[in-house]
Amino acid sequence: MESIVESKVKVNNRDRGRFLETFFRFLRNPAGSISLIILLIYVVIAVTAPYIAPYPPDQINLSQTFLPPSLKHLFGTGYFGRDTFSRVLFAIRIDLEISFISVSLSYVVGIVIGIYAGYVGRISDNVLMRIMDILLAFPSIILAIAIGIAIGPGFWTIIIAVTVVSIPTFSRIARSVVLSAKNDLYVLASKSLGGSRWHILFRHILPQTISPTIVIYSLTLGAAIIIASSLSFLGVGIPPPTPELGAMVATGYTYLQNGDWWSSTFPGLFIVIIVIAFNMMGETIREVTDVTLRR
Amino acid sequence: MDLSDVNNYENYTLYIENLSIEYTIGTVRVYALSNFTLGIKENESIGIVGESGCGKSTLAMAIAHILPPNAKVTSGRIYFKGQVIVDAEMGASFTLRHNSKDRKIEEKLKMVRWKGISVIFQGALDSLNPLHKVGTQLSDIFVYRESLSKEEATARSKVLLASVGLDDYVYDMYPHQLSGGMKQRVVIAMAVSLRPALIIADEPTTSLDVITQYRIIEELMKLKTQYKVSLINISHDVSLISRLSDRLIVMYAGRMVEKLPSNSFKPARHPYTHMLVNSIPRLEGEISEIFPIRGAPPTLVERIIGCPFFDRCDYGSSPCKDPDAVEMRSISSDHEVACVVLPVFAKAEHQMEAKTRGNVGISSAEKVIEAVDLTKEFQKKSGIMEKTEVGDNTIKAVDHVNIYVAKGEIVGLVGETGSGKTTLSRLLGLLETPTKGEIIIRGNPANSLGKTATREFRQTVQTIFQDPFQSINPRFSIYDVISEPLKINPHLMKEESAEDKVRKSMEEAELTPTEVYINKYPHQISGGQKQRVSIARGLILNPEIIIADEPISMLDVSLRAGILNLLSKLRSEFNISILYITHDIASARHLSDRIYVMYRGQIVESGTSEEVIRRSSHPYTISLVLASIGIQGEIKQKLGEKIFNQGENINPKSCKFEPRCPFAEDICSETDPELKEISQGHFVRCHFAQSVANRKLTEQALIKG
Amino acid sequence: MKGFQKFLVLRTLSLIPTVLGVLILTFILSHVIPGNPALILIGPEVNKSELSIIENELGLNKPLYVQFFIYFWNLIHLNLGYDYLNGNTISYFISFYFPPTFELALAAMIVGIPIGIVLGIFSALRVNKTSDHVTRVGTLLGISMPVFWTEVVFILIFFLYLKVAPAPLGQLSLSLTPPPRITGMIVLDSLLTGNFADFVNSLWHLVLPVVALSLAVFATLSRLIRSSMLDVINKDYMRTAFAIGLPRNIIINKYAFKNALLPAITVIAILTGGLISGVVLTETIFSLPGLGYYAYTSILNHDYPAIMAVVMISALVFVIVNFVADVIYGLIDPRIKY
Repeated sequence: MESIVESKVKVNNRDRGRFLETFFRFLRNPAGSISLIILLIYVVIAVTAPYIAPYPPDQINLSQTFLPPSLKHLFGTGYFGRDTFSRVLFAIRIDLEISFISVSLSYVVGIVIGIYAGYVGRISDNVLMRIMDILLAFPSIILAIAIGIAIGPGFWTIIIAVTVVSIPTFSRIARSVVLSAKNDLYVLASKSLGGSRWHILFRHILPQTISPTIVIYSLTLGAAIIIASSLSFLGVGIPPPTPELGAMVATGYTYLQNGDWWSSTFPGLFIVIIVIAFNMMGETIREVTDVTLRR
Repeated sequence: MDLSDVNNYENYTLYIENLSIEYTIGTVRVYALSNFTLGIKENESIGIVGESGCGKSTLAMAIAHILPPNAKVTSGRIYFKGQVIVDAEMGASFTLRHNSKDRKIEEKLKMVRWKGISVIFQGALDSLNPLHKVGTQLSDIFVYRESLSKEEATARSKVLLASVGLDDYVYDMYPHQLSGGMKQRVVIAMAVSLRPALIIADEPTTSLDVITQYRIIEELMKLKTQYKVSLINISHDVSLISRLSDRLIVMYAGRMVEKLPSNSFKPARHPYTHMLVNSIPRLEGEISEIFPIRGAPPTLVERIIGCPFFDRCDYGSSPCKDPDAVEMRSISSDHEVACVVLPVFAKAEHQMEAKTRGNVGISSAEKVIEAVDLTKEFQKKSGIMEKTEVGDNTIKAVDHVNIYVAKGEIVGLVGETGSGKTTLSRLLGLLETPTKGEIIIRGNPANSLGKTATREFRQTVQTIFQDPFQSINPRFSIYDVISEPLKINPHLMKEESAEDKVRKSMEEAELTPTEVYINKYPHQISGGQKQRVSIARGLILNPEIIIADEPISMLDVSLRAGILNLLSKLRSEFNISILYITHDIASARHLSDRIYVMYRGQIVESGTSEEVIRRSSHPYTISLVLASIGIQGEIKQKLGEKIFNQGENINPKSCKFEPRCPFAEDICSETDPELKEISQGHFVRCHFAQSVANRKLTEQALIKG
Repeated sequence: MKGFQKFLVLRTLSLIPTVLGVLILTFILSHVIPGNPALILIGPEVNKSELSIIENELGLNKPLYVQFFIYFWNLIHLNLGYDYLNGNTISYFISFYFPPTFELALAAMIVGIPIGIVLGIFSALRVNKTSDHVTRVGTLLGISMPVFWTEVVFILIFFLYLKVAPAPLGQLSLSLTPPPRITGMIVLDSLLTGNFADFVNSLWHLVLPVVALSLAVFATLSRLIRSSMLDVINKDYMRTAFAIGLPRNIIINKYAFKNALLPAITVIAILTGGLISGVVLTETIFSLPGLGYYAYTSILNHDYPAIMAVVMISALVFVIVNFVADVIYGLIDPRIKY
């Protein structure tokens, strides 16, 4: 039902080659700007945590245990009398580190695998996608647990676990973009002009893989935090005393019987906020880069 | 509302009064329809003709009250048998909202929907729900709109299917199992089911092959005579429309520009209509020059004051810019035109000189490209959808084809979807490798070589594709697109700079002024201009032959002549050969020196275009020509009903056309005929070629026309 | 239906390499990476002779592919190893703990799927109205909250403050005796044995965990259904249905819904994966005796064979669920059948 007019208007809204214009459209979208602000706040926290935290995160003070939130301790204190607020600030740093590092790694690995499988095809495609299928056959947290157990607790264990679990999604999307782009008419046209496989890959196909994968990147950042915090909740991830949002919720849970609601609620809240932000960001990017040249 | 209005619309089945419709897409407003007025009487058949963006679809959907939710009625109303069915308050859109206002509107419309007004959509596309059986969708109409029981509804549906020539088994099929023509007939059956007073046929034959189109038109004509409905036929195909309709409406840029009786287009008075007709190649009579219309149809995102055709019109002058230039003026009792100038058109029919066609002596010229015994086989997709064919699992898309194009020649390749013409064009363009056979370019075999050697041949053969939107990367600027071959083949840039070469190519492709276009992006230019960009891109490699694969079929009608003339110019000025591939036999005849006719992977007829068109000797060619002229009843009279058969023959040894052929005899199902020369340069693949030739079936039809 | 049979055969065949791959991966994770499983089994304080006995028993000095063969052979015979810490075979524990987990997951699906579908259709029909925006924000929240946090907060609010929920200490209040074990699913067993008190109480204990789990389910599902419906409504064949004047509920339920549902089947299958993960966390928090709980305690006890057994079972269940979903999809979509 779309007329040519409609499609012209749609593409007009997305003049290619103009990254800035897309960016501004992203900002004009309320969900977009809110999510960006949240992300920026978190990044600032992560970077400045050592400077802005009122107390060192592992400072034990056994006389100050289980204090409810107050001006002195914004989020109260826990079993060891450590300031929950400071711990949350450091935990945000850890969690952001984990998610950015692992998702970026899986982005690169996944996209390369996907593009290779999609472009070269045949046997490599079959083999690679089978491997991806096997990884996907495990529910993500379960697989992460398995990897975490196998390697042993630690910062890099979580990174590896989250990375491995996130690779298949990227490879799938990259592969499907490449498969459909391979059949585009202008690719055939390029071939008739004498375009080599490399030329076609870099000039025509690769640029198309950017926007769909950026969307997935943002969404996966959210998923990564959930996986990482779930792992730590179960004790498979980062060992104490390193502050991590999920681990803090786990220990906070055991304090509920002491009437301590703040030790578990606040850390979890900060998980929710950043995941919301990543989700909103991913969806807004998707809306803003919608280039469906329908007829 | 004064009393004169009461008289006005009471007399009509449908009365559209000063209707204007806008769409809102994001922040942009599209003025799709402006001030449209029309009355349709009982059992009258109206044809609405126009190009994309002219507003005809908007009008159709508005009448049926199924516009999308972002459409707004900004003025006017529509009466159906005296009752208002569309106005600014009611709108003309469908909605799933459930508030009281929308419910009241639907209540009002209940008796009109499908019982009063029904629509024949383009069935070949998405108009049938893929998850439900065809029969269910048909009988649901009876169950929910006439409260019939399931059994009664099923029975009625089967009768309905029979009336459009579909057997009972179609009832239990799913849409994807039917051919385009069958789906279209289902949609027609649906439209007639509740005996409406008015049927709107929206592009009912687009995307069907010519012979099936002809069949569908017969069905539509039956609607008029048998069911006595009023018919609104909408199409971009000018000649098709005139066959079906009593009166013709020409639309442009959301407005009506001419209203006249349809028996002939000759006395068309609006410049647009006139220029449009003159830009279409005719199949009958002598070959005459076609005149392109410059520019492109407007995008309607801003209000146009005065005549919308002014920018493209050869006859425009200052009064055309006044707001009342768009008023319809009466020329006679049944002819109105929206033009202040009302020019008198000169006898603008030049006979094209035989010289410019230059077909004599071509056969001695050097062959640029030749296919020898070319075959391409595909593996049939393994079994999820199994076909009933016996024999091996391969489909021969191209079956031992021999064709050639000589220097400075334009050769036409005519075939429908499934004929293998696209595969053949890919093979010749070195974009696919053949299973058997050879491609010889300038005397050297070209298809069995490695990558680097093939690359050298690529410069000689360039391809222009059918889809102007898809053949250019939307992210590239025009400059990027046209300079891409230079980036791939840097050795070409010895003398001039890349930019100079690009500009030169643009000029050759008539994409001028170059400064204006060179930095634009594909979505900013029209379809015709996009094709010119593709042509310019190919020209930059100095090819000797351009393979044009259906270059105009996706373009607006007013833009087609320009491309055809450009191709002709490329031959006459630069001596570039053209292989023109199309399903439209009229344009093939107009452009080409020689024609090959292709059917199911084989060449069934070949020769000079005059021979092949005037004295067609293969039954398939004859039916193509007759269908394209579309003289009423001609196909049935001369060839019979069998020709509409879509069936395939199981036996791979038989003639491929046998199931449809009116002249078929036993030998045809046993042996596949060879190409035989029946006269100088004229080859036909038929056991009875000579006798068919002697009947001169098409010559009679053409000369008569 | 010949096409369907072929489809079925092909899908079943492609199941084999996937299952094999799952087994290989679990093998790699459980035998190859952790170093010496024997050591892990016994603990750090060990003497050499004990170690070599265990090593022999586990066949650790044999080449890798032989080890895999032994592993595979054991699996075929449902021998998942021995749980030294809990005193029975792992297969025993798996089968013991499977039903409560199944019960929990099933309940979450039963609650989550219908709500998700209804919510999705609801917001699709009210696009861009306030109710749609509210739903969208709500579901966004639903997919962004980690299940463990949701449950901790629920417990805080409903148990500690409002005191309407039971203590998160298992399937049944301590004062009641559990019903005899027939299926292993406590709600069903109490029903079957006519134990009304147990029935009500166990349901009461399920409320909080099921609500939390189903939240993720219906939040994701409703978003998908919403976008799927919106896609479908804009298709041409819907326009035909409108033009015909079919009643609104027929258009939505018979024509649009079926089309919108198709992608939902695939999504529900994928959701099961998330559900399995969520169940592990849920059982931990609510102390519900199921596979998740077993996995958690095994983690605490460093009982690696047990953990890997749970991991493998989860993967196999997930693979089967996806397979079933594919088959259902093939049954519904006529384009695959014919």
